[in-house]
Amino acid sequence: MMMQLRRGSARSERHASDVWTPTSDHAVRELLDHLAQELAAEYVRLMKKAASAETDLDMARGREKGR
Amino acid sequence: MMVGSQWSLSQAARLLRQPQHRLIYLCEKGVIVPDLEDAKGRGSSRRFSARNLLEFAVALRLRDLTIPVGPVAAIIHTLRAFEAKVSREIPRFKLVQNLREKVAPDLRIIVRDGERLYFSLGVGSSPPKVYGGLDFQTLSPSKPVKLKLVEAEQVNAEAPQIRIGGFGRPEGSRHARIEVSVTGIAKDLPLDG
Repeated sequence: MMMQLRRGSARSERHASDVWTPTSDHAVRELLDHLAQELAAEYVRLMKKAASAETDLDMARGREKGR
Repeated sequence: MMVGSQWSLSQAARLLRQPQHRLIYLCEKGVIVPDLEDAKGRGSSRRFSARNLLEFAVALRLRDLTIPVGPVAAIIHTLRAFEAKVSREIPRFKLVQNLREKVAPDLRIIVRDGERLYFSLGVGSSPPKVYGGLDFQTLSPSKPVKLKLVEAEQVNAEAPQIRIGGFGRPEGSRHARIEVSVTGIAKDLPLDG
């Protein structure tokens, strides 16, 4: 009975930092961070492009109204 | 939307329509790290952010598709790092909120032939760009292999001629591919209710 209680207690105290994940490996973590960096750069590029297209559209609408 | 809100385990499970044990499993495996409070001892409980809810939704979808927990953890880590890196360039960028916007690029996870991990990013009808190429063995605890990422330029340059029949584009899957839209999952998260 006591053993069961202890086991249960240890289980409830198990924490994410105690388990292995791919990011526990420094080299894998660096690789994933590099991948995230590439994705982020492309995301920012796409958002800037979208914002620029929106500005052009607004300016065109403004010119239309001005006529 | 409930920006800045937090959810308990039972609230998160209800919102995602999943049994609590599936969420607990992902926390105990280190896939999901609660943003607000972790269960370390008696009297404390896990509290989750909107980002955590997206992470759960993506991880659960990948698990439903039988992706092993190691690669799922790697994907969730990459999404977190992605958010951190974008927010350096775009202040106030929040992964969930921004992916739910109408003009948000489509961020996808692609698994090629059950063994390689890619991400793709695209807008509208333009062909998406593909990144990654990480071998699943790298993401397993027992099989150390040489680390290698296929450079994006290489993947995207090879893409048009990889499979003429149209299957497996743009990453070049030969027989099987799994594709999950992170943007689609973010848009469908029931955070407003």
